[in-house]
Amino acid sequence: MFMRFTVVLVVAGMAVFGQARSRKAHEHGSAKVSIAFETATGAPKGVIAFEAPAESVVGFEHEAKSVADKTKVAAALRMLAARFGEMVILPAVSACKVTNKSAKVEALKEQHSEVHAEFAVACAKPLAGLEIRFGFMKVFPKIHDVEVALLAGEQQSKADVENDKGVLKIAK
Amino acid sequence: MSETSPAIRLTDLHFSYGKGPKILDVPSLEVKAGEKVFLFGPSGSGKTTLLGVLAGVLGGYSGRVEVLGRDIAKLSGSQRDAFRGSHLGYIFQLFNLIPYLSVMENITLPCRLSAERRGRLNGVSLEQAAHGVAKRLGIDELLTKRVTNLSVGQQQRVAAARSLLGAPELIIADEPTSSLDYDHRERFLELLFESCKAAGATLLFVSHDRSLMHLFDRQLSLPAINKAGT
Amino acid sequence: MLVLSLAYQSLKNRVLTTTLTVISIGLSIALLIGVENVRVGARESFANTISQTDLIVGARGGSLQLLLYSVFRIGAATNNITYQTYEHWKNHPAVAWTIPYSLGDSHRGFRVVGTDENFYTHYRYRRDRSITFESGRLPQDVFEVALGSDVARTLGYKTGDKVVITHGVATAAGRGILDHGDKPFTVSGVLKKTATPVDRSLYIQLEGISAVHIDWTDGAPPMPGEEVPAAKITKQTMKIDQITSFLLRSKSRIDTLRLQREISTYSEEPLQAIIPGLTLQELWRTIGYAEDALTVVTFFVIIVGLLGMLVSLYTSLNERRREMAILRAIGAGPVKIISLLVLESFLLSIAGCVLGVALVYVLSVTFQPIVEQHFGLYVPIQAPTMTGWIYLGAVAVAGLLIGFIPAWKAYRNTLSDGLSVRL
Repeated sequence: MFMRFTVVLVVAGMAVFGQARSRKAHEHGSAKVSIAFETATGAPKGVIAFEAPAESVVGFEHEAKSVADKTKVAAALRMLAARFGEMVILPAVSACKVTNKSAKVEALKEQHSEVHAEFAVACAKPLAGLEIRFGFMKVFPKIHDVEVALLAGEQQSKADVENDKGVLKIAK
Repeated sequence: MSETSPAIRLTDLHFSYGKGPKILDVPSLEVKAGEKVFLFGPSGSGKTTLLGVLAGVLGGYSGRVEVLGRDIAKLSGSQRDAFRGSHLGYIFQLFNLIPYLSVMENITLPCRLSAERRGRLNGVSLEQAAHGVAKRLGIDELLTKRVTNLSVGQQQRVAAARSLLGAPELIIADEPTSSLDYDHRERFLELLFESCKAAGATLLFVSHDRSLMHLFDRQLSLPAINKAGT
Repeated sequence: MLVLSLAYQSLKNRVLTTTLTVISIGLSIALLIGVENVRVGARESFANTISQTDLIVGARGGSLQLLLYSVFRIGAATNNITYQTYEHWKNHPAVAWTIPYSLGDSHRGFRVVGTDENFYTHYRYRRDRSITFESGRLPQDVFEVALGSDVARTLGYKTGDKVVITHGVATAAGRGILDHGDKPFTVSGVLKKTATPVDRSLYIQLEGISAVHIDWTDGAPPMPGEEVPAAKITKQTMKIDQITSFLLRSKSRIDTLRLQREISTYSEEPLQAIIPGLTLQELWRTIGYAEDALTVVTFFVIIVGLLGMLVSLYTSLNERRREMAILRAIGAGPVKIISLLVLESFLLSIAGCVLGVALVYVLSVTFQPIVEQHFGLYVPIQAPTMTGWIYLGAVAVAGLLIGFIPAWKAYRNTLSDGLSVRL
């Protein structure tokens, strides 16, 4: 029985999984990207959410009080907004336009802070069957490990992108 | 090679398999072009080894071996293969034919392997030429048959046809009649002689059956010329 | 071309060994490609154990735990969520539908799931398949139960039978210590086989879960004389206090991300929301070692198939020494002899590849529906994948290379045999 087989697999995988899962929520160098498209066909519209430790984007995590720090934060967020298309590289043939909706530094507990940004995406041509590639390190060299999730129509998939290697295939 | 150069000339031939005992020690042997020579000797006197050397299949001998005016030691391996394929016809004692080919395919195989040999057909198509040779040997009815369906006598005639097609200058036959009965033996030899004559080929015929020797131009005893044989 | 035709005719002549060799390579190829297809199918089927669910929501805890108890009915939740919280999200403007699950009871090793009509209307698996009934109908009364097909088959139940559910999770063999024996359920229907974990549960109404626990206090059965008789319980009088988890479909995939964030930061109650496809994928990746093991085994099968070919070619050489001598005598050089044998080996492996692929197609077409029905495993019928082509190419090249072994031996034979082969 395939089903019983999977159940056995699930149980067998639990121990391994438990360890593999323990990714720290706030780990310097790691970022999280969530991409959602209503559908991958037609002229897809969607959103992309980006989360990363401020250290990896801005360079520090303390509250920016000095003028110098505030300038740094503003410059980093501007760069994030302007060059996001190089970080999450949507298929060129789909002619997607990425617009920054928000980008801010949010303080967490214990002196940590995170950058949160949201982008709106509008593509002229379908994405189905194509691939999304990544180039985080070109823009922010410290971001070397990114967990990317993709929702598109009924597709739910994810990729662990290390050192910009890895692709996400958009289902047909 | 000129008309006058001998078909075979051996000088001081020494041969042994690896480091084994000496099999051949032939100071001198000459066969004239167009000659029909009967070479005899008991089993183990080195007849087949001598043929292997002449055909350029066995290397590693010392002395000089000229076949059709060529020092075959001076030819590279692939040149020797090409030379053999083009200028020699070879008939074995038994199991002469490739079992998975038809009679026609067996007969034409040397000409298909050697472009030079095919070139000597004088513009006649390969099939026609094969048909001609087969007809002379009385096997033209069998051309499409599988060789495994033939009698031993028929098989030997197919082997003869194969060795003759494409007018090789030297035919070497290694006891081709030993598996035939007396009547068939004589008949086979007559056909072979006739074909050799028509093609102007030299025939080196090896046998231990001396009852046939009177049919040949010259008779050679291998033990007499091979000092290693004793 | 001449050598090719010789190789072909030589193989044709040894029709029995040729056929056996091709079959043995063909079978191993079929196994390799078949396993590859099953692998793809298994991954697909696993990922589609649950479909069209955007989020699974439960009390905060491990995401895997939430997936396991909500989808696979393995393990249990540490905490429940209140029904008010559930209703809050159920009525959220971005939510299309929700399916509530109330877990914790069992029947002879099978889990009892309290849910509502939405389960029968909205639940999807294998992309777009919904829950249908083999017989009967969905539970409408507090004490009615619908059975998953494995439950009905294993226990031999049919519509109209009485079922007593057990408090907590008991093993199949031993009866639970605490039965809800005073409130038996009637089987209202049996679900059609889905070949997913859905088959291994019993489904009652949320009110049913409340009903069997109505007279319980703090997880203990009522004292004698304090029982509330089943006859006094109706659906309307039952209050639902809590559920274990719920499945959620958002109106748009874009809303899914926003909802996930909102639910995770809900201030009234600590919740977590997982995207099932992502967690399933992560789970599959960690159990992917089984896949690798399967592939390793099939590679060994291929190696055995190729070795079989080597053996058959090698052993045929002795019978073919005469043939090689004839070929040499009529002017075929070592290159021709070697290429003849290498080509034979190559042709055998190519034929094996073709047979193997054909076999996979025939078997797939024949057995796909049966496998799907019985194992819930949809094995795709498709042109060989990239991996498939790489395998085929590798086998063909391996066949070519292996051919050099008998070829070398044959060449050595012709050197030592010369023209004299006495067999």
